[in-house]
Amino acid sequence: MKKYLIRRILSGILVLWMVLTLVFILVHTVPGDPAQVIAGELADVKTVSEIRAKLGLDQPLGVQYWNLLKGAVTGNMGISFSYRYSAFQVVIERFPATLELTLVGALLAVPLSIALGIVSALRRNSVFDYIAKFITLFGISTPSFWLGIMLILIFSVHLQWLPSMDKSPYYFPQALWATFSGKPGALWHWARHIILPAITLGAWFTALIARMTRTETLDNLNRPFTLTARSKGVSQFKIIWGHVLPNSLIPIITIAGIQIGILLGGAIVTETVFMWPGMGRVMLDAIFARDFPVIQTATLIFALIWVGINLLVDLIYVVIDPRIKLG
Amino acid sequence: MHWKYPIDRRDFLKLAGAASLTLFGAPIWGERNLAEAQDKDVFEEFGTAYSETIVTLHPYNTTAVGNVMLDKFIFDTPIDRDGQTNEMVNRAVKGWEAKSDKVWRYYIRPGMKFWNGNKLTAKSFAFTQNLVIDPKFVSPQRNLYSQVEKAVVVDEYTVDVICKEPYPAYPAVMVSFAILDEQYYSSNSLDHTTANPMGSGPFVFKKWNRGIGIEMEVNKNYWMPPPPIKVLKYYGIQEAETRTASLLSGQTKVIAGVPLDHFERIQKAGFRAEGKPGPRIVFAGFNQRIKPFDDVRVRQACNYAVDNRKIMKVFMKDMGEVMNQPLSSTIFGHNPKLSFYDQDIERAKKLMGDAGYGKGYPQTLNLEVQPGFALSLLEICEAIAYDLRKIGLNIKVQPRENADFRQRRPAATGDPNFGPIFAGSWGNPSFDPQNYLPYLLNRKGSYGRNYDEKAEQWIDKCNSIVDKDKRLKELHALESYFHEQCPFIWLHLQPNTYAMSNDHNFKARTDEYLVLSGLKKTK
Repeated sequence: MKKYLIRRILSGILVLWMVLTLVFILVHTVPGDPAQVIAGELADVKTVSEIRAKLGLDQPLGVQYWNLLKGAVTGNMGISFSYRYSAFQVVIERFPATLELTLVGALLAVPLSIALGIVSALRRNSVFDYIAKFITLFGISTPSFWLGIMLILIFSVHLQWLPSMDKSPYYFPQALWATFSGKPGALWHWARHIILPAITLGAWFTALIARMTRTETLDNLNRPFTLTARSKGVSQFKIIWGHVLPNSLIPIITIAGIQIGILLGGAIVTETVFMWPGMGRVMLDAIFARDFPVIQTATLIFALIWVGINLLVDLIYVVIDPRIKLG
Repeated sequence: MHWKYPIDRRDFLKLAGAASLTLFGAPIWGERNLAEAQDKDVFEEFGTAYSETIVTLHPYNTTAVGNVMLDKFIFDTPIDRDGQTNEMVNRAVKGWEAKSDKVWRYYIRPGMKFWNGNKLTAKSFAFTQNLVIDPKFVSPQRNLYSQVEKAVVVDEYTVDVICKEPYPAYPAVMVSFAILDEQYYSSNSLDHTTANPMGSGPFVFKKWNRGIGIEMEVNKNYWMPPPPIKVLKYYGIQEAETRTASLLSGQTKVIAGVPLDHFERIQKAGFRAEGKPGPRIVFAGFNQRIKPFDDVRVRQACNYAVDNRKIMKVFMKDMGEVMNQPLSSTIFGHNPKLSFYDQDIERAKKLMGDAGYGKGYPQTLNLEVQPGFALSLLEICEAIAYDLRKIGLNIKVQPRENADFRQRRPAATGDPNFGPIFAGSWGNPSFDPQNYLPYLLNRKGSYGRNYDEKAEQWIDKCNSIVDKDKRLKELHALESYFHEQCPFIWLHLQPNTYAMSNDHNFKARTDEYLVLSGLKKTK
């Protein structure tokens, strides 16, 4: 196990280095001069070149690359071209918002999708199954951009129940704390701001996991261990919870883990539609502004999360299925 | 005989109590009612939105329009524009005058204070001006003040701006000159001031919710009555649909930069949507170093081929203004006597024939466009391409990403093969030709693809005449020259678009901003 962990960490570092190198090549290859973007429309050639020098963009590429690697190790990823303070701080101060949105989206999606998948499998070809299939098909095929706008039009514009944008100043623990310390509306304030973006973000995830759960459940329902349990008179509830579900969970966890990584990185659209102040939007703005330090930092953090989640998923396998041995 | 009083003791006490209450209590009740009435006229919270995310709160670290909008809340500028008449009106100054061709004198309004209690004086003005032109500071706005040598304090409320050469546009530029507190901005680091502005404006900065917007509170000590708003929220909402939804759902009360195709929906929902011609012009320029646009007859033919009136009607809903020269009617120097290039395909074909392209031009020509530069710009380019095909020019619309387009565009440093047609847009809140012509039609500027030395010298001449009448005369002649030379396909002056709720009197403005002075609650 120890060897396995060391090996995985080393391969993780290799992945991070490759990602950083690739991003460095990409940002320096694509057309567009950050100094010109910052200088704006009014600047003359002299001002642009002075800004370029101030940003360190006049240094040789080798020096810039070395600075990047050094920064990645020491945590000093440079100063954001647009924000004019630490790029790491720019990205990391938006991380909690993205993480919270992703977790809430996933927490809404996972129980719902597993329940939907199991019931759909148990009542195969029933009306419920068809409805569930329709919901999952809708979830998978609907672009989050469109879904987000529709939810805003229905719940914010027409019904005026929920806000169309903005984030509550509270994060969940703060909202909970505030609720129990004399601000009863804090939790509701938090919830009403996050619910639409979380549904938008989680819709595709729900559909995917529900379909996966259905397939896995159907498969396991016909396995010999299920038939044996049935012949021994074990109740349906126990068969599902004790045998079918645990066996179905392994591929589901794999997919869910990867998907949570995708959700973290893929929240860009949802964050843009709902004006959610997360990492995705910072990344998008940075790409348009050619803010290299922010692009590189955000990519590094996304890659780090990705590597971490994959490692975590592998470790969870061992807990769920004792047959699996790592290393 | 028992004499009976007309009223008994109890009634007497009741009456006396009521009388006392009337006499002494009325003012108290009156005050309370007055306060309630005043509260009814004040917005507890007022949301505004524009399309740019705010990335810095230092006014001189950026050239973003969104920041200038925000600066109008936080800081004081020497002048404002009247949103309806477009006239310059004094704000932080009592007046100004040209002491000579190279010296502008400004008289600061006494009694103004920054939020920290420091006085806004001539020193603040001079400090700000000298900071912007300081080579060490490297402000992106420095080029705007490239003719300024220094600002010198004359007395507490008088400041002289000394220029290296005549700078007639200086007063007009003052519309976006946010005056800074010397003590605060010289004693705090850029890191600090970038996130913590110190202004003197009608709203006091409270909080920057990064990625969302800025929260401000009314400045109760403002030198003039501030807008009737307790908390002002300024959102930077990039996505147009979300911006419109924020208004329709009640989270904002004024939004700027509204796509014209949202107008009907907004109005149907019972809100106001208005457009007003502003500073932003839209054109399709030629790279005159590339054939066939090196020939003036081809450029004129293109102008006769493109139906800019239809473009105005279809894409601008007739809210802008069709153009025929580089400066629109809202900009100083516009020549109203020049004729329009109304669509005339036969004439255009004849001009093409005269230029030797009677059978059209054999190669496909790119029309480069950055779609977000102006309203419906991509669609407008498709319309231009459609019209130019009628005279034998096969045009391919080539969308470019913002940074890519900007890098390729300037004549001095960009791609020599840029275009050969490109869709452009330009606007400056000064409404002065000095902030248009050199950027559009000089090789040192942002475009300059006409490569016309004579025009460059002429532009320089116009920008060195301080006498208003003489300058206007010279500009009219220059506009006639450009009208004939056709460095652009003249398109239109774009409207500034706004949408508002119905509980206040904000109207669409000429200057693109969200100035809230004069705002009244109407419901």
